[in-house]
Amino acid sequence: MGILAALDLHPYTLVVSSFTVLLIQQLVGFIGKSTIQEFAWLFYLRVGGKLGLSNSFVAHTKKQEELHKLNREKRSISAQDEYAKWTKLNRQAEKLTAEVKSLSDDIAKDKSKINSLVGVVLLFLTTLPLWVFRLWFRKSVLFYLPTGVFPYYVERVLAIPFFASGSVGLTVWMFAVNNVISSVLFLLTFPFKPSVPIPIRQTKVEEVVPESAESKESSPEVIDIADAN
Amino acid sequence: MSDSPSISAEERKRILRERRAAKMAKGNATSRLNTILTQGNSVKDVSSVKSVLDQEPTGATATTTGNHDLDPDHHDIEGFINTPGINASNDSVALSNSEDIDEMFKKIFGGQVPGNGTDGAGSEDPLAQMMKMFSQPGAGTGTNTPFSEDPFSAQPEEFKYQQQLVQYNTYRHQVWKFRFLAVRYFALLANFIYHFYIIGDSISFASSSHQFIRELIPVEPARSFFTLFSTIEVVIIASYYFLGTKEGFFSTATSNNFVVKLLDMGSMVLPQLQQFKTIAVRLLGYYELLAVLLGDLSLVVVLFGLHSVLGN
Repeated sequence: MGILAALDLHPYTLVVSSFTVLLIQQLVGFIGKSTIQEFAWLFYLRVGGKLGLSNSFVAHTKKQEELHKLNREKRSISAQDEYAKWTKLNRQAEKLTAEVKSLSDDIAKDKSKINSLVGVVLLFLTTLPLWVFRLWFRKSVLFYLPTGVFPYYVERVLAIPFFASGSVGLTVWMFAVNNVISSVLFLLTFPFKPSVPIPIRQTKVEEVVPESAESKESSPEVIDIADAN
Repeated sequence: MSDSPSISAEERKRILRERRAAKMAKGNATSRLNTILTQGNSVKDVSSVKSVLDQEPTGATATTTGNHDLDPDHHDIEGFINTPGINASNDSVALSNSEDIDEMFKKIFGGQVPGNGTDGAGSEDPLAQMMKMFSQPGAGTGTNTPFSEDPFSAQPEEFKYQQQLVQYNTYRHQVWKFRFLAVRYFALLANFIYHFYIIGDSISFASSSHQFIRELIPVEPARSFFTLFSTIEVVIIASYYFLGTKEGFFSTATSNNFVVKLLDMGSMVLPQLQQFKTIAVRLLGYYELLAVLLGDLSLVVVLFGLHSVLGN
């Protein structure tokens, strides 16, 4: 309780915050980090464009449209008949291609930045708080169970690792919350999973060959090499 | 060649064989063989192969090696080198060196296969035997797992069927898990809510972050919470165990377990480890039952924990 008092944290604050962090962690695990990163990227493209953050993407789209138009124009004329015009267009297309490439690189850099930013946010949201809780509040009692509800041996188990009987610490609380959240997620998602049908074994049906045909097949035409010579 | 429909295939073969034998008996086998070998060549008579039919019988080279004089005038050292196992039994003497090596390998690898090395199964490729042992998660468990049949004899359709069967078994296990989980959570929540409301007293069935809650004298209805809890657990765990053994989803769930896989790998080196696999599968089944109990206890802890927040 000493650390809690020093930080002016009430145990129930810890109960709620650890529950929330574990819930977020389980949800992130369920949705998938890559999916969240993709969503963040799409959000950045949509909102960042309006805010002027993702200018390179807008420029890239414009340049690509221009390139497409140029290529179409270039294809419409003959390189032999209108050589000068074709060369001019080709030069422009090459220049635009180089610009598009450099913009693509910029976008890729932006994307990796967004991905790393999402990673850092998730780290601060899920992993780091749990480590802080484990390090700072490992000796804090989160709550006490009512007397007489559980027998002594169950209270002892719930007081793992070193708390007084009847109290619940962070270790047991985090284990319990993880267990319950994953079970609830399973309960909520399993009905929407596609069912697996009973597999049917494919038995090979052998074709019934008439006896005369079989004997004909088994004794093919004998070629006498010696006779041939 | 006069082909008449009345002659049977066997008879026709026999006639051809006799005619061929008669032709061979006339001699000129070497020239005939060279004609066959130089067919299509622009330069004739380049082949100088001699037919075995025209070779002079050499007599006492290979076949008489077994009839050694026990006390010869002078010892032929080459005979000692070339004759395989002069001290061995007379049966093995006739084998050539290469045949000996083949036989030796067959014996070595045949002897390592469980069972015997002389029957059809034992004379298989030893690598295939090892792979077979490696890919049999159900072996030794006494359960009818999808892999209990020989996977190497299986056709692609059969292999696909086995894969689908594994998927189906896993899905069935999950279905049962879902049903039990729903029943468990419903029963436990009902038990908790019932006691929460029946006691009425805001302290006797309440958890708190304050230690004074432990000093209170417990009321009688609060004790019945654990009685009901343990009854629910006994019924649910017993039914789950019964269904798990009957439907065989304990073995399905444990077939991918690290310990079982390790035992499978170990049994390739030490076949005695197979007997521990049965124990491991059983223990993992019990662990699943323990997980049910711990999961239910977790729900109660979470409910009390959240209640301690609401009570403050």
